[in-house]
Amino acid sequence: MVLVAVEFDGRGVTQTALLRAASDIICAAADKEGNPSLGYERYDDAPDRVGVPIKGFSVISKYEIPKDQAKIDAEDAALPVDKIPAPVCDTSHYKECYEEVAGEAMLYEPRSVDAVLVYDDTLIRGGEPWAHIGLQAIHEKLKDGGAIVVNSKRDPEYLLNFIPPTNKKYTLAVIDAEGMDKIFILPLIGAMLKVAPGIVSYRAVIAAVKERYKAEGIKKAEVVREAYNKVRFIEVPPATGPIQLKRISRKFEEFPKWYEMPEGIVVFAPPVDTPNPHYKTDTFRTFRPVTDPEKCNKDGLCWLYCPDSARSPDPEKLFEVNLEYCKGCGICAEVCPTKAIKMVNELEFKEARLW
Amino acid sequence: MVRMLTTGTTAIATAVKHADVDVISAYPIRPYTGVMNELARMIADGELDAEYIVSDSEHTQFEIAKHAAACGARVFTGSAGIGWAFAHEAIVVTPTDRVPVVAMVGNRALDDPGNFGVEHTETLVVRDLGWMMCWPENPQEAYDLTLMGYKIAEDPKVLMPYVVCCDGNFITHVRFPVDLPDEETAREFLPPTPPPRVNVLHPDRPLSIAPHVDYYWGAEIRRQMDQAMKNAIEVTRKVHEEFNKIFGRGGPPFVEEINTEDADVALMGVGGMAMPARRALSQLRKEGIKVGYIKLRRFRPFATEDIVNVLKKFKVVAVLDMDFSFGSPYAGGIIFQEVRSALYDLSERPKVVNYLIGLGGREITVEVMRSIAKEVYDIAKTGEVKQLVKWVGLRE
Repeated sequence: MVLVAVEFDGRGVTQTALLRAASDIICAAADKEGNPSLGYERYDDAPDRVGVPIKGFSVISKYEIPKDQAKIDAEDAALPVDKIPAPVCDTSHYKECYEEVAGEAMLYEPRSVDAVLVYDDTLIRGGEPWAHIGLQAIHEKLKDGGAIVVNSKRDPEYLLNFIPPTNKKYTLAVIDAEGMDKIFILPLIGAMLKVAPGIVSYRAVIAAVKERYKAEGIKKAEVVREAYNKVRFIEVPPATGPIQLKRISRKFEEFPKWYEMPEGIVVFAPPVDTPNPHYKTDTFRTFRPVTDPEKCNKDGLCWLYCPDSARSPDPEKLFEVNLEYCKGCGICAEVCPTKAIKMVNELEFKEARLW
Repeated sequence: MVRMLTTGTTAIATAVKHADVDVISAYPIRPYTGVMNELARMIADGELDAEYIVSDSEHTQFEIAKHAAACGARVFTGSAGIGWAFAHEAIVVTPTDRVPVVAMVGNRALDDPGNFGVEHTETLVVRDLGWMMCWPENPQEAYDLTLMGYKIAEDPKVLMPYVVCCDGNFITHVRFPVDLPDEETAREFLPPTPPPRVNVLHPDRPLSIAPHVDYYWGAEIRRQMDQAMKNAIEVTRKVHEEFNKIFGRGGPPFVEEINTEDADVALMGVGGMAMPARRALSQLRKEGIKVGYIKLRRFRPFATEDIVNVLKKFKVVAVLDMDFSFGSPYAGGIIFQEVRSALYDLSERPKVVNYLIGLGGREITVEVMRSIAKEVYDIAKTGEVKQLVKWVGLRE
């Protein structure tokens, strides 16, 4: 038996339901092949916060992965979606597979994943959803040889700038989902089928998509097929030499022992006017505020309105933004009377890497 | 019957729909909120016709459920953690008024601010009050136990409230493959109208429920409730068997043996921890280590006879508590205390040890279960208990 898993990375409020839909499609496809699965979103995420990195998962237990799965999928993808054979539902090992996958149910995240599907390319810098967790690299849970599939208009080579080195090898795939479907789930799943075969079969996904979208089923299945054929990808070799990351997630064992913690759930505040050194919120950000010195009239509204107190009160520095805390909400740009602040996509800044 | 990918909360909401409830009182708190959301959707989509009352707090919420049930309505309500604790006064008087309220608790820690991880303490603190309590292992069982709940609670011999306790996140928020029966089959088991009750609030036959009570009455009222809980054991057995017959699943009503064949030792617990336990113990069995798991499906009423009969054959029983009872005998968990006490009168009784596991919602892996099982197995071999109560996964 083998456990396979998919991770879905998105942002709070807007994408919560999308994570669930993506997980549901993968799990429904697994079910079509007679394989039990679990689907969930990370419980301690607070998706009610705008921009917060959130994760969802599908975990599947199957008896074995057919060796020629990639070949079968490729043949299926060459056919029109209404000509694809129905998946074979083999439940002969269902009971033991269920026991295996249910054994993983008391976890918040799978131990490892075969593919990471990323809704928005700024997420590849990693995510820090909670104060004590630290920065989680995009490939933290990825198995050696797994795949990262990103919705992006950029090249995989460019995106690689923002992904920290790792000693795993992986496939970095890019699909520009905009215009393919109004939500980006299906293009990402279609691309995943190409670069990470074996999690679920192509034909099972097509069957699940047709069932889910009923009257629109064929049209939606076409999106999967298009993405399968259109995805661009590069193979990323393992990093050579020692890997040094300045912000990495903290290991469970490194947290204080029960007798070392102050009693009574006490947290010591940082000195006045110093930001919280334990919790940086920059991974919430998709767009970065940039001030045009020519247009800035130094009225300080940006400083006043910043909900995270991420701006300095110094007019001479154009109310400089502390980029470790700016969540990219865009309120400063909105309130600026001279329209001096522009919101620029984070990946336009090559130094935006967080490691 | 359709197999759906369904969370525990949706499974419970489906059971509530199949029970065709009349009144739902709701107030949001994670992880119970999932049930309330799903029921609201069902009403909005015309799948369910029920009064849906959003209250101003959990206290009011449980009062509404109690009062509606006192009028003879079939009701559903629920909460979690501190919400359930805030409703405590209403929770106390629900069994004394003998109304068959069915509730769901999404188990949640008490209450390190914001910790919504599972712990069973919040429901166990009301174990003495007359609420029937059960713990499903997975969303499938969450559906089953909720549907059965109405039939048990509404039985004229019982008329006590019933709560389905679900592990927060692991059961409430994880989508599992679940077999959901169609409405007709569900109604064959549970008719949409509850059995008639004589003493309900109705203008045609004026009466008062729960007026002032003094020392002339108190003891007799308690004895009535005591009898109802005793009756509930036989009623539960009957209802559970009937459920098994119609749906072809459900296992024994109170206590289920898993992997216990030829085993001298067993782990024992409630709720979702049975899932990693099943996996760990079947792995160990292949390696020649025979350890069983005893799944306590229902904790109230505590079916002493059934439980003792199952446990007496073991040399060592390790009770896994996802709860705490500070300052208790041997500083052990709540279920540990009760199981140990139930075995006291046996002339040859198993050693009962205790593990506090998953506190604050800490993850429970197959490996953790394996290591506990091996430890307990060694206790049986050496006969030596090094530590009666152990904390699992604690940073120490």
